[in-house]
Amino acid sequence: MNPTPLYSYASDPAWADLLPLPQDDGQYPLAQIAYTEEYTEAMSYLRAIMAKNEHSPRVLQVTAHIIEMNPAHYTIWVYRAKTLFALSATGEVQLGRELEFLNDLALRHQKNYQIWNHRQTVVEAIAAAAAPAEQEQLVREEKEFMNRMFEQDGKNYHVWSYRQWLVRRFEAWDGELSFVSALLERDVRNNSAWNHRFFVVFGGGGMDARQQGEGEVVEEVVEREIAFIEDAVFIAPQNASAWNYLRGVLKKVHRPLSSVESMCLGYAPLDNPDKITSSHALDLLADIYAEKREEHGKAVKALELLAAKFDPIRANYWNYRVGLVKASV
Amino acid sequence: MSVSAPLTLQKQKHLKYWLRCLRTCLPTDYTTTDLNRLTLGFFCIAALDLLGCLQTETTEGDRAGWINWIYKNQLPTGGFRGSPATELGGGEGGSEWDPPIVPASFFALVALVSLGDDLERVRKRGLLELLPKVQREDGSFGEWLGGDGQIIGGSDMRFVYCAVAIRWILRGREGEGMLEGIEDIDVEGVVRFIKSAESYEHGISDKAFGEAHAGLTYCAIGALALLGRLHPTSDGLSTHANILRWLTSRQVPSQAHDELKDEEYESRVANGTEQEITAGATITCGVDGKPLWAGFNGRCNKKTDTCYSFWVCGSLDMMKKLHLIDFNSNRRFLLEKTQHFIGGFAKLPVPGTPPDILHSFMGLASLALMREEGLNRLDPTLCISMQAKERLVNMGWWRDATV
Repeated sequence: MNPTPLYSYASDPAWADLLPLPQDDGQYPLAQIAYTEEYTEAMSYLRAIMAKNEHSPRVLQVTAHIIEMNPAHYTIWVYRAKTLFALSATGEVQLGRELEFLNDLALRHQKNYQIWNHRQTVVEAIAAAAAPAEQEQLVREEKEFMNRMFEQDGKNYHVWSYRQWLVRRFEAWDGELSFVSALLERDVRNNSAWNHRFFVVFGGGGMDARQQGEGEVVEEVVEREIAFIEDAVFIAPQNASAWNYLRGVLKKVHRPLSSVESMCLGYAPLDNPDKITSSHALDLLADIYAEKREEHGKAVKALELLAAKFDPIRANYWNYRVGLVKASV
Repeated sequence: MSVSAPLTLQKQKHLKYWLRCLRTCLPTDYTTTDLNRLTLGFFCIAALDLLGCLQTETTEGDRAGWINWIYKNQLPTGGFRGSPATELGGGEGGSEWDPPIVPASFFALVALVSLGDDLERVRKRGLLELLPKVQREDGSFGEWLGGDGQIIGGSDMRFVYCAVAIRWILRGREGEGMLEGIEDIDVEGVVRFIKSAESYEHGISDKAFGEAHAGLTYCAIGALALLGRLHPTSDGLSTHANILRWLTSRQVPSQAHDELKDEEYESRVANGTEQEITAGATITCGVDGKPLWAGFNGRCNKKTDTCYSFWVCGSLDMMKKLHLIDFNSNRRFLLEKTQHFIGGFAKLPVPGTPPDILHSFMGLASLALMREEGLNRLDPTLCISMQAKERLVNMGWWRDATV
């Protein structure tokens, strides 16, 4: 039971010239929804004004109203953006205000993706008209707002995706490494943060890449990353994120997996299974030993320990890997 | 701790749930999915099809009515709108703000096929001509075409999958259509884009350097499969070994704290005493030493969620490696942790979470892939029953297309 809406388009003189366009659901509609009267009325006026392709201030009113009830309405966002840009060109609207509107929405609709897509369009338009100092300010404020989002959910896919776009678009790499290190300090299992670290270190254009020109990563950076991983694994040996990152780094810089054998043995001494603290170390050892025929026995042993004791949920997978090792002879 | 006998699929309850979704209004909460009504409609139809009840529990008149309704949402220029909510009465020329939507067009086609329609009324040329127009330079696809020809919608593996699936359905298996002279999509571009989106973890993300995500991985593998490019020597993935590790790693044993609501989880696990943390991490194992319940997460170190039981199993099934997961614990996770007593499946194994259409379908779909008794088999690539797919590939115009 929804209370009668306080506002109605039908009784607002500003909308009196428009004939609302009701929805025709037809016969045998699929997935019919129990709309509220408020939504039904607003949508009828939206359709009417969209059919006229009007770009006036009242478009901002009805689109904001509907977005509040249904932020996943996709065409409405593009219509709103077009209207905003038209009104901003004539000075009737300030685009900065749109970001405030979006901040409030994004905090309340964490899972929505259209909000971030729209934000990108708006920020792009603001930046196009901004002086360098204003751009820097804009980027700083965007990062600050994302931090607020991450406080609520440090793994929000849309926000991370947006952050990568922002960093790349504005060459805003400064501070990213310390930002992501701080997040990982708070939660070493935050895989999104690990992923962002990979982007910052190897994504091109970052401090690390710039130091040594195209394509290559300086030794110092590799050592720093490996030391960082070693610390993270020490805190949480069973944290898959850190081990996956390790594999990613080694592959990226063309180092053999065997270069971390001793580190793996620290968490998975094959000759002393009682002391094994990480299934991921065992998995890595299996890959290291599978590369050399004379060490296949050790690879099989690691995989059998995984299947039987350290990761039995994936027993089928580990046994399949045993088969691959044996078949590779 | 005593563990009761595993629950079975409550088929009658699922049937009731889906018939209710089809025949009565969905609750107001679904307003946020208003623009995706063709998608929701597909799930309802396809779920009844998986339950084997589409022919027995609905009449020919019902099915003809739903088919007509789907066609009512086809645009004069070809392609489908996502919902009657965007219909503006634009006439033959259509309207900039009532465009055909790539995902909606895919869901319309598979819903029509599931309902037994022959796709004769689909404006195939118009829809196929739309596809290259919504493909970007980098090989990715948008969601729709703006009035000024601008490609709209984020760079997204979901649109890649839907576009490639539309092409497969309408052009036939080899991609050489009965419809002459229609510009094709850039297939090599698609493969390149998918390759670029493979992350260092070897799952697929939304774009280069994005985080590996099981839903996006399903879309990428599905697109490669439909392009005939999912084999170790010619596909867009680094190696199958790498992606298999990532996919199988998504199955994780249920821990006691998975069933806590967010606030409780925060207070007991994040800020709790050592004792509370240990208790929360408890995993219940069976006599064989294996965890009893293990669903799937969508990203590393995230919680299990019903839909990933499908995205991951579907991906593995397309790679012919579904047997590498632990069937029993996935089945028990779905039947005992997220199956709802009124029918359907909830998203999370948290008691009190209501079922919803997406997760209710995904739960059934995952079980169907594992050949659950009482369910029809599912084609993992198109996400429709094998019978429905058979009907499609045996339609006269489709068979001719592959010659």
